[in-house]
Amino acid sequence: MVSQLNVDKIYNEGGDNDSGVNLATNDTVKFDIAGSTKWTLNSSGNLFPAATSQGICFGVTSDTAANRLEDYEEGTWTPIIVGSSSAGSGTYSTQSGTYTKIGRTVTFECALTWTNHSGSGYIYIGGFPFNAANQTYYVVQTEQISLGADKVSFTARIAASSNQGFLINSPTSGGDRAAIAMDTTGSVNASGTYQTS
Amino acid sequence: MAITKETIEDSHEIKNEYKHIYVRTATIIKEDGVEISRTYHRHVIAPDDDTSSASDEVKKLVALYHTDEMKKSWSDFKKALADAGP
Repeated sequence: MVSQLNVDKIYNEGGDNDSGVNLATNDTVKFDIAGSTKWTLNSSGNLFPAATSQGICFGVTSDTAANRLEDYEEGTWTPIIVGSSSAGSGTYSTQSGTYTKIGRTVTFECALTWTNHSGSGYIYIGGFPFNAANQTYYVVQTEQISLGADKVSFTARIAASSNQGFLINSPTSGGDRAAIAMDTTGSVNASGTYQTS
Repeated sequence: MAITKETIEDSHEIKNEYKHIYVRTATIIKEDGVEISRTYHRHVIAPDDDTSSASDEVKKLVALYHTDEMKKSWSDFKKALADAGP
C-alpha cells in the first residue's frame, strides 16, 4: 500500500463519469494548501472551513467579500416585552422565537402573550438574537392591547444598534404613526427580516 | 447506549460601540459520547441588563466592557431613541 502519493495533476482520460476520491474506511478528506488544511469533508459528507471567515463565493471568479457567504445559523431566541421608561417584567404564557441567519440577514418569527407586566412608558418588543444594523420595520399581529380609538397596529420597529424597539399603531383615518403605551396584558405575533452588522 | 445532554455557552462576541455581548447557547445531545444533535439559542446583553444570573464568563465580560461610562452612553442612546419616537 502506498501511504502518500505526490503528483502535480491527476487526469482521467476515460470520460466515464465516475471520477472521484474513494475512501474505503470511515474517514475525512482534508483539502490542504501549503501544508495548512483549508477545508475538511467529514465522514457524514459535510464540508467545513478551517476558519469561520472562510466561505463560498457566488457570482464572481475571484474572492470578493460582498459575494462571499460565510455564515448560516438557525436557532431560537426569547422575545420579551420591555417598557421604554421602566423595563419591568411580566408573566408570559406564550414566549417563543426562532431565527435563521444567512450572511448578515436575519429572518425571525416570534409569539408573545403576557399578563401583569410592570413596565412603564411605551411597549418595546425586545430580546432579538442580534442587533439591527439599521432601524427596520416588521409585521405584527396584536391582540388585547389598548390601542385607543380609531387606531390599528400592524408594525413594529427594531432600532438601529439595538435588539429592541417600538410596537407601533397608526390612525385608521391616516396620520402619523405612534408608539403604543405600555399595557399590562397583551399578545403579539410577529415575523420579519433585518440586517445585522 | 447512553444518551447525554449538555448545555454550554459556545460563543461570546462583543458588538458595536455599546459593547453588546452576543451569547450563543448550544444544547448538545450525544449518544455514547458522539454528538448527534446540536441546537442554538441566542440572547444579547446590553450594558443595562441584569446579569446577576449570567455565567461566570459573561460576568467577566460585563465587568470588562460594561463600565459606568458605557452604561451612561447606552442610556443616553436609548433615551434618544425613545425621544425620537417610532
